[in-house]
Amino acid sequence: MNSFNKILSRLNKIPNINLDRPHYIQPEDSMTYRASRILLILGCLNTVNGLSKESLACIDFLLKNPFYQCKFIFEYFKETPNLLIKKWSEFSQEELPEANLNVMQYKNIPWDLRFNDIFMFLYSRKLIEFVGREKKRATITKEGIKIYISLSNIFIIEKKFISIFGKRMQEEKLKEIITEVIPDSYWRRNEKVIYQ
Amino acid sequence: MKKLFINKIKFNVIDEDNVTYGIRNPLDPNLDYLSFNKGVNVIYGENSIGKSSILTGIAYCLGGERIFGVTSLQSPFKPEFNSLINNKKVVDSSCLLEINNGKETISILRNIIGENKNICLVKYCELENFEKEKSFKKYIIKNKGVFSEDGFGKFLFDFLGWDIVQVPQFNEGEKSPLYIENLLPLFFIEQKRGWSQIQSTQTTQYGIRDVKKVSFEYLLNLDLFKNHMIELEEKSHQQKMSRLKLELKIHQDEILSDLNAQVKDEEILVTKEEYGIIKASSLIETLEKEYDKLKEGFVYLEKQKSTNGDSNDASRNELLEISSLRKLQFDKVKCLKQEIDVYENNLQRIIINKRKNNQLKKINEIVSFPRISFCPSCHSPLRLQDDDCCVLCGTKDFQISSPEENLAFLEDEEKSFKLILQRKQDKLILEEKSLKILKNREKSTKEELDYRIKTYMGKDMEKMRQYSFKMDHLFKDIRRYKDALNKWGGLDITREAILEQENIIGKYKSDIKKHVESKEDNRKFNEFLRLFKEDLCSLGFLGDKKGIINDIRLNKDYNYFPYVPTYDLYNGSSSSDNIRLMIAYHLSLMKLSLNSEFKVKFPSLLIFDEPQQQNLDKETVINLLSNLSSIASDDWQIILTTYRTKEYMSGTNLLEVGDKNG
Repeated sequence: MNSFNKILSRLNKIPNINLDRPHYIQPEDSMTYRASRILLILGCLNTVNGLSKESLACIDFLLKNPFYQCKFIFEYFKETPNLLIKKWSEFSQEELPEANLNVMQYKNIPWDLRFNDIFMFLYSRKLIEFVGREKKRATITKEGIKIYISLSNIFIIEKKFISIFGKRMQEEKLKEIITEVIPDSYWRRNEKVIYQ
Repeated sequence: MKKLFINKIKFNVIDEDNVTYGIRNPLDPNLDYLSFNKGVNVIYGENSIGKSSILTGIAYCLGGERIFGVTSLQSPFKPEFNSLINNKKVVDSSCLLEINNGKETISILRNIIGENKNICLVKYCELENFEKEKSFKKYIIKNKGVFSEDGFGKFLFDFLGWDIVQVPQFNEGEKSPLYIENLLPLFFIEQKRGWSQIQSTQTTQYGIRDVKKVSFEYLLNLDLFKNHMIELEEKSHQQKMSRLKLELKIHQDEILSDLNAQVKDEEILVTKEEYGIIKASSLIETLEKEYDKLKEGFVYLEKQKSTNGDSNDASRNELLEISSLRKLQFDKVKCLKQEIDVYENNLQRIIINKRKNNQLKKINEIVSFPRISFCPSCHSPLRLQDDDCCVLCGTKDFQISSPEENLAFLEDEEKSFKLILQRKQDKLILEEKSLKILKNREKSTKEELDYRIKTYMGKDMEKMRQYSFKMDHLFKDIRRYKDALNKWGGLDITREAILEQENIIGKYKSDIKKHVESKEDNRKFNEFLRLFKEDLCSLGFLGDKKGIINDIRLNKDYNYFPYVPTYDLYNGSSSSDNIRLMIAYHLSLMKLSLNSEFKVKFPSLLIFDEPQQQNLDKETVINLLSNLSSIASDDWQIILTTYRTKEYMSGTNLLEVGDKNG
């Protein structure tokens, strides 16, 4: 690279922009960003008993892919139509969701390997802790809540979506919708057609 | 005129034992032939002794055996002459006759049995010298060829100075010569049938029209003969004409009924439903015009059909082309849309990422995540090393983009993408517009094609079919009428033939008119009638009713048979009177022939076979003989056979036939 620069300087062709481009890492690949969002989820929902890692992955999937939010709300509240209408009126998408094209698909839980690193990130900073008998349910710590309050002003759209479900989310229902209903509705049917 | 005299006759019958039979001359037993003189010759003897056989021999040698009513395969002779004699088979049998025409004498030999009986041998010699005479000539005496160069008919007619005449037959347009068989009945009265009526032995075998009249006229050499020939010709033409007329009528009726037409002023008027009564030619003209009109329409439709067909093909090709273009365009638009989708997605992602980067930026600004001082696994305190590598991941000189950098990058990317997107969208509008045009073109072309196909298959086709049907119908009609007219025109030949026949008949009629008043004929008739009446009186005809004789007339309408308008000569008198009438008739003919000024062809010869068997009394025979003795001339000959005795036949050549075998 130095020799190349030398040649360029000799030829008086040195570029006036920085050619050493950084590794562009978007927020979804940023540990800080992802950890912040997990912390937001943990600050909003099930603060008492915490959330399992699978549930966290599911809610994070919904926040990451707003395309499925609409479907999720419908499925979550379909047994109580009145509530559904109310929640539906609260829900609004300001941004256009990404097309199916770029939406990730999954077979079981939309698990991201980096979740372990994220949990590690938060746990090592004592922002979360694992509670329960097997210490598998994550909860936000007091330190975490302080950051969560700051984050609430940043993740406005996300928080608005989470607030539809109140303080507590039914984890079983969440898992069923994410692992069964949504894949069945969007891609499993196609898979069946293709693989049969 | 030449005469015919029978001089001698001889038979030669040989049986299987080589025994020869023949005639023994009653005057000279050494002679084996019978001689006849001029004047009266009476052959007398008992019944079935051979008198008639002698006369049969005369007719046979003259080739006139048909007067005995035999066919060409039958023999006029008794079995003794051709099969068995005294219970012996006849092996050879012939007859030799000597005749004279007043100048020349010939002998005629004709076999009675054997293959050569159709041929005769003629020698210019007397009968006795027949064997000695070397020169001879063979003639056909029977069947075809009688009047050919080698025919006996021709020879005999020449010998007697008779013309060979062709007379009309019943068969239209055909002619036959007058044979000796047709003339013999006028001077040879055969025993069995000959006395029943004048010319009763006349043969009809040759199909000669009015044969009795013709023979009479011929032998009397009447001018009427020629006239009669013309009449017969006219009759034949009349027949032909009536046949032609009938033929014409049948054909015309056929044509007219076929066309449902009638004829008025030589024009064919057809009755046709749509046109009423119309001339056939005008109808054809009208139909042809109609046909031409239809044809014009048909041709126009056909042309349109082919034009439509061509343009349909072109439209079809165009449609295919447009369809493929539209498909391509559609794919293009689809790709473009997908591309735009991608760009829009990317832009959306950029927006999301921008938001997220802003969020991250704020996180970085507001939220301060506490630094880690210990390892989460081993809880040992963390230390930075000199080489600036990450303690946890070991990454060296790893520069990760900051949210600001990210935002700058994303802004730039967004800007570029928006630009590209704008271009793509503009392009999409254009492409969609062209797709729309193509779609419209495709639709219109398809509709046009559909319409054309529908129109062609529908109304036009139906119209063409109707035209074709009508044209077929008209064509058939025209052809039918034309054919009929052609046939009608073809009948002109028949019409011309009828006209020709009418002209010929007219000509014949005027010819007949010219000949009808022939003085010579009248003279002959008057003389004949005078002689006839005289002879009838001398023979004692009708006894006390002699007054009727004066009323006797002779007319060609009655075959020249004598008749009385108010009296039936033939049935109103006794049978012997019939014989008297017959004798007088033939006698008068002979007497007429003796008068040289009349130039008749009658041979001055009479052969009467057994007139006495027909109830003729002795007195009449005596009267006959006295009548004959009064004839001044000697140039005549009568041969008479009778079973009576010779007592009252003095002054005649009496030839007694005694022994049957003799």
